[in-house]
Amino acid sequence: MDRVLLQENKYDLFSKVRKRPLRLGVLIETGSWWFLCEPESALAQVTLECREQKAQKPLLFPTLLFHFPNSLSFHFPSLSCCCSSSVTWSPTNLQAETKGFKPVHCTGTNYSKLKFIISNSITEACNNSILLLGPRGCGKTAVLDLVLRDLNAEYTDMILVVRLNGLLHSDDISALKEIARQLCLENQLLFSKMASFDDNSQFMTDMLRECGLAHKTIIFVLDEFDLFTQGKQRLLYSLLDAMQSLTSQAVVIGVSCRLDADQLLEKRVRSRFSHRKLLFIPPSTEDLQRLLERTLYLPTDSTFPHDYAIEFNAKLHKILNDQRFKEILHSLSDVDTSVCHLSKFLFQAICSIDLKYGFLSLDNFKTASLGIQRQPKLESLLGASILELYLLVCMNRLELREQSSYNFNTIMKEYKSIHDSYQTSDSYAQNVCLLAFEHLLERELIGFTDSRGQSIEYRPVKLLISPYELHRGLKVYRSCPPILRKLFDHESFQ
Amino acid sequence: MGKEEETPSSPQTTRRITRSSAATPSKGTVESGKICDRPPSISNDLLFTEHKSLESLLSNFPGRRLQILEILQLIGPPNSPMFPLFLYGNASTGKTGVVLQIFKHLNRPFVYSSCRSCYNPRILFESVLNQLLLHRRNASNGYSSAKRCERGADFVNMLRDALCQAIESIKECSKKSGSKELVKQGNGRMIYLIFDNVELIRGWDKNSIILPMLFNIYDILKIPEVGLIFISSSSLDSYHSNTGFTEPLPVFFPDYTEDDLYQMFMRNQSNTKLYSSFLNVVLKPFCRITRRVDELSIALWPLYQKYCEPLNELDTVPDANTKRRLFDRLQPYLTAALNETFKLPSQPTLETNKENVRRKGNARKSCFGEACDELDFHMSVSAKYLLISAFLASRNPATLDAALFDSTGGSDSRKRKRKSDQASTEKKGDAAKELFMKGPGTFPLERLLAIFQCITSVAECPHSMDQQGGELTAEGWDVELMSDVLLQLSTLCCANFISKGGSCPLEGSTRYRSTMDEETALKVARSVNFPLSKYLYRR
Repeated sequence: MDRVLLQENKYDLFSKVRKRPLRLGVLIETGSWWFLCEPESALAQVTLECREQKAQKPLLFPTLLFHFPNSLSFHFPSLSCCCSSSVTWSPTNLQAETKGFKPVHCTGTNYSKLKFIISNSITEACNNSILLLGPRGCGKTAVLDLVLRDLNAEYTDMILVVRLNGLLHSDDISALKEIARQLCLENQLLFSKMASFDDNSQFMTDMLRECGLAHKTIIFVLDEFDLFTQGKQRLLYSLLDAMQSLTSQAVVIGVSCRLDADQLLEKRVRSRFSHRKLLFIPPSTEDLQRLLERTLYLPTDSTFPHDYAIEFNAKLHKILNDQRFKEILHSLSDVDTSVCHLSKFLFQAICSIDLKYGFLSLDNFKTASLGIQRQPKLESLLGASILELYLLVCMNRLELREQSSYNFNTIMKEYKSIHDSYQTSDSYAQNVCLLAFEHLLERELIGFTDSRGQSIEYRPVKLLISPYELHRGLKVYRSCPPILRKLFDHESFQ
Repeated sequence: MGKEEETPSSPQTTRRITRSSAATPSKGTVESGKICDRPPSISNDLLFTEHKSLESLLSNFPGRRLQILEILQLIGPPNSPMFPLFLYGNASTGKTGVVLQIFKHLNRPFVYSSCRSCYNPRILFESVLNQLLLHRRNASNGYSSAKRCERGADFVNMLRDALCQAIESIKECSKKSGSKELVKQGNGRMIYLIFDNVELIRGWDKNSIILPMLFNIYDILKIPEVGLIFISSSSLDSYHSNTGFTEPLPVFFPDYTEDDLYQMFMRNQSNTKLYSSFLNVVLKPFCRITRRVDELSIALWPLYQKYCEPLNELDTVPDANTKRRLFDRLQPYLTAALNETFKLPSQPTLETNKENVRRKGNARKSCFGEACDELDFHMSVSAKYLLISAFLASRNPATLDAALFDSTGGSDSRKRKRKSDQASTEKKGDAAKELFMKGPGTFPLERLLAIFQCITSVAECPHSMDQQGGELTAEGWDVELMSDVLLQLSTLCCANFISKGGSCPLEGSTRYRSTMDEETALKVARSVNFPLSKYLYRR
């Protein structure tokens, strides 16, 4: 699985794919999560991790087909959760939601497994390490926080939590400094900013021993674990190596959205790592539905006026059972089923409540779903001027002619030839076209293919939108000259 | 890169002033007044002093009504936490202006830092912290920042401390003061961090971690009282990174439509009738080229001057007849202006144009395009020769040098030319295509100097022959020139007339390339009376 490329962002996928569209084997979609990999290993991995596969879903993104015209096959199995049995939501209400708290999604089994492992190492005074894996916005950190909170209540003064984030502490020096800082903070020690790397490292081993002797467990939470594997992995090595001694008592918890995070480890680190992994998977549609209800319904026994809460809930109930609302929710979960995505959607819906009316309406959800499902390329295409559209169509014609590389001068030649043959009114001088060309570059509808070079006119360029998107854009564009549409259709759909 | 959409003649401050004053809204007033030594406080430093109503906000930004309302909804009433926002849209669509004016309207504390002026991580971090800690860089502290901060890890820790401190002080203030004071202190206890021009961070290479960090900073901080707003000219899909990040809520600023532009240009016009009749004529053709306000306002201004020229008084209300007359008069300028790049013509050229037009009467050919035959910059003669020789070296194939510049090879070159004419047209086409794709060729320094020597000797020979005729002096002059030439060359490289390419893998020496277009080259040649076209090899 070392060649597996995990992306939780579909945009990522597209940009990656565009660079090498033909090497693709299989594209598998699990909710919001995309695997892009060799066919055999992907299937092996997927079957390992998922107990059942449902029947094939229809293609969700017609654009996808467009991007992989030559790939061998497509599979879109919807992978159901392996732990869909019991899902409980922590109580959240509208008030909490509007305050921006994220609903806590705790997957029952993962919660109990994690709690068992950590509490085990607290009571048995042993070392442990574990990886929490899963796409972004599926509650890895939320479950971890819940577990830590509960354990803190259970074993007071026996836990020390040190939190690191790969985005901030990926280099060893700042990581050790941060560890020393947090340990000092917890133990009311004076932290010296000037301490060197060796000092901090020595301090950490001493603290581990001291805490081990005092039967205190240090829990290291490494968020964005995959980023710690960059470089020489000295931090991971020194952490895991210190845990080999009998005196220490620590748990290392890595949180990552790369499924192959443990494969990134060096050999010396991997051999010291216990290969415990917990997989988090985006919730199913039913779970999302339950979460939705839990979040949106007003509690009748809170500070809200009783009548208002009841009326609010009645109105909401009507909306939730509306077929149109279900369609919106469906289209939303087609793209991304993570809790994070849903809460963003709900936040937007609640923000658009008419304060005078005071109740949620279907329109709120409609505007929210429009607001969250953006099509940036199309938007910026619609913002382009007519001249810029001309240049895009010219580039598309050049690409269809399978010209391997072209630059502004070639585009200008094509542009002039169009005007010579069709006598359009939009014939402009070269410098005006160059201006439009620069605008297109700014909009990132086109891009240079080389990294550096000479003046703009001679640098080879390429389109950054697909012909499909361009086609749609031309259709939607108000006051688009008919000749342009004709030129495009004529070229591409003969 | 204008972003503000104030119309050119609007009484509001120019872009520069709005932007710089945006970061520290009320600093100027505080410092200039007598309360200079008052300790800085949140209400002074992080708030706009005057309040703005929603109506004036909406009317200030024609065509941005939907976006303003959406942002207001997402920011929410006082004390409501929010998800990070991501405002994006093309340049010159009013993103920064709208956000800053919204905060003027809301009267809540915010910190604004643009990644354009804060051009590396350290400056960005320190700018945010300085504003939060109410630290002012001045002579007394040696213009140093409040905290030294280079790493993201330190930034997050310091930011957390600073935010907690600021929020605490806001809470205390609101507790102490009555309800009347509360309005003054800003509404609510939220603090907003605004990051402008986020797209530039992508260019800070090797710091690819900064961008996901900024986007994730809301999750990392876990302080509900902080609101984050990112402003960018490119959409979220261009921010891909291997780590990924939780996507902020997107708010899109579309390009202005023609109607929006019309309304915008109509604002603050003294003679609305006249200007509207002008816009009716002009706006539509220009919108086919660009819909950016900044460019349009530059392009429309001289045209309007032209349009008004025949009128005696500027406050006349034009009837249909005058409109037609004015339009007929404007027509030639309009077509010419459409084919000009949007640049502000300097005053003298406008004057000369006027003269020319008068002389030619109703000539349809306008003088906008053919305007200047002379160079509009000064340059030493040897630099000009150097430019010409660089141009020749870039355009001509190296194999023809001997034929072109050798005094005995003149006839040879003609022969060779004929030969190449007879060669297959296919080959010729290929070569032309190659030139089209590759652009001007590169050349080593030696070749440039050789050509330079040849053409200067051609130009200088008559003089030197007349005066002294000695070879020795000519050589002496050359030596003198050579020492200067290298200096001139580096100057031209800096001025971007000649670009320094990478070194050739075989020869190992640096190669140069002329970036001048033929038009300019011909102009330069004309200014020193050098017959450039004679030496230019045409395929």
